[in-house]
Amino acid sequence: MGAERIPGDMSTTCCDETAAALREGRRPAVGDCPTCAALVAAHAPAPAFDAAGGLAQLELALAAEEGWRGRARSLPTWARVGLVVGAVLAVGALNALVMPRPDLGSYPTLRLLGIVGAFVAGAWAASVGASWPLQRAPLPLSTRVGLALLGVALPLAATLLPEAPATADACCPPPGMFGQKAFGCLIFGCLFAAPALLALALVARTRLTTIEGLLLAGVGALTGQVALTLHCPIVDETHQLVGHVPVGVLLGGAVCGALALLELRPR
Amino acid sequence: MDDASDEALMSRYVDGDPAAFAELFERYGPRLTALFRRGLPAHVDVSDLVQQTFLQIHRARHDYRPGLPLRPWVVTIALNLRRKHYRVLSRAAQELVVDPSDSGETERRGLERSERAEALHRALEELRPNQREVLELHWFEGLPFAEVARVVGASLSAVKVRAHRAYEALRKTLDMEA
Repeated sequence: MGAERIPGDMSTTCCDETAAALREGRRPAVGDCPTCAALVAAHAPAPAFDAAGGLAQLELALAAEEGWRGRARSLPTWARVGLVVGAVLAVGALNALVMPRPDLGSYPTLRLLGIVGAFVAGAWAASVGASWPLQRAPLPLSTRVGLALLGVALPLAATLLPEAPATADACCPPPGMFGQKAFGCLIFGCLFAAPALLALALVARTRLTTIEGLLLAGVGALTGQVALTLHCPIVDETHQLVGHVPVGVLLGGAVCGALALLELRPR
Repeated sequence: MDDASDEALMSRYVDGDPAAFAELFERYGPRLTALFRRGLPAHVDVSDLVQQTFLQIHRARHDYRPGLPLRPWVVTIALNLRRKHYRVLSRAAQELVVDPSDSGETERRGLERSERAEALHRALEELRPNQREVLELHWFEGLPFAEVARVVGASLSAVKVRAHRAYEALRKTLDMEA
């Protein structure tokens, strides 16, 4: 290697030779150069590598990858993300076609498309973060946290939008049923998060870390929001703050709890 | 022994040739073993991490674009796995200081470990992880700074600044020792 000089670099060509000697397993000639001494101090010769044994074990591991789960994990990253976004769209289609909100015909179409579109775009962005491949430098922590928070931030933003013009079919929770309706929406949103959560878990290539778990919860939360937006006609802000927005919080807690339990299991 | 380039072997594996993967395993196994050994405590089974790296290469094979330099690609996977493993160890509150006496000290090919070398080793351990990583990739993996930048996900200038600061920190330690 011809090492490059950088400003303040205290190394000289002797360092190149030392580094090359260490990499090739030769004994370097170390003079008074401090960087050479540092290189030697930091270098540990590679422990013995059992190629035949390692390969035999690897072949067993690769054989276990032959099933449908292994094939799903081996899909290109764009296809893995596509699978998750497909699950989000399927949840949207199911709610819009099979159990749509009663005011679907009278609710402002552009507003509805804008809100659902924002949730789908958010779910796509969070699933890109959750499926980030290992062969790429990791996304900065702030980016990953930001993507995970979309699961709460986008529903909150949608709730705080100026109210839609009242329509005849829009409704408020009947008196005395506020809690029941809000709880119902919370459960409904969590249940409809399942397809995206399952798709993400299916294509995950490694065991999830906490932040990846939160990204997963974010995708699930936005999927739940797609379902709720297309299904629930209650436009009351308090209902949405209590019944819709916390879906992400609930899922985040559940995923973190599940990961903590998995962590306790012997590997 | 196959004379094909790493990239050609990877392309052949993507096309379904398992012998190419075996050849890659033989080429990269010792290097990855050293990479994991350098950054993790002595009690960690690095052969398991080498296995995991190759399993990840297998899972990511359809993401590989023909012609892309393979070494930075593989090193990035290994470094990401090493970071993940380090975090797991950290959570388990295990001893994370790499004991130099366990890192092949007896095999240092006759190089006497002087007090100065001990001090330098400590200084390297005390560098910020992102600085140590840059030095490691540049010196031990032989990657040019442009490729180091791609592996760690930073700009070329940021990587050079990290290397510069690492050298400065080492120099300071040496001055203090003197």
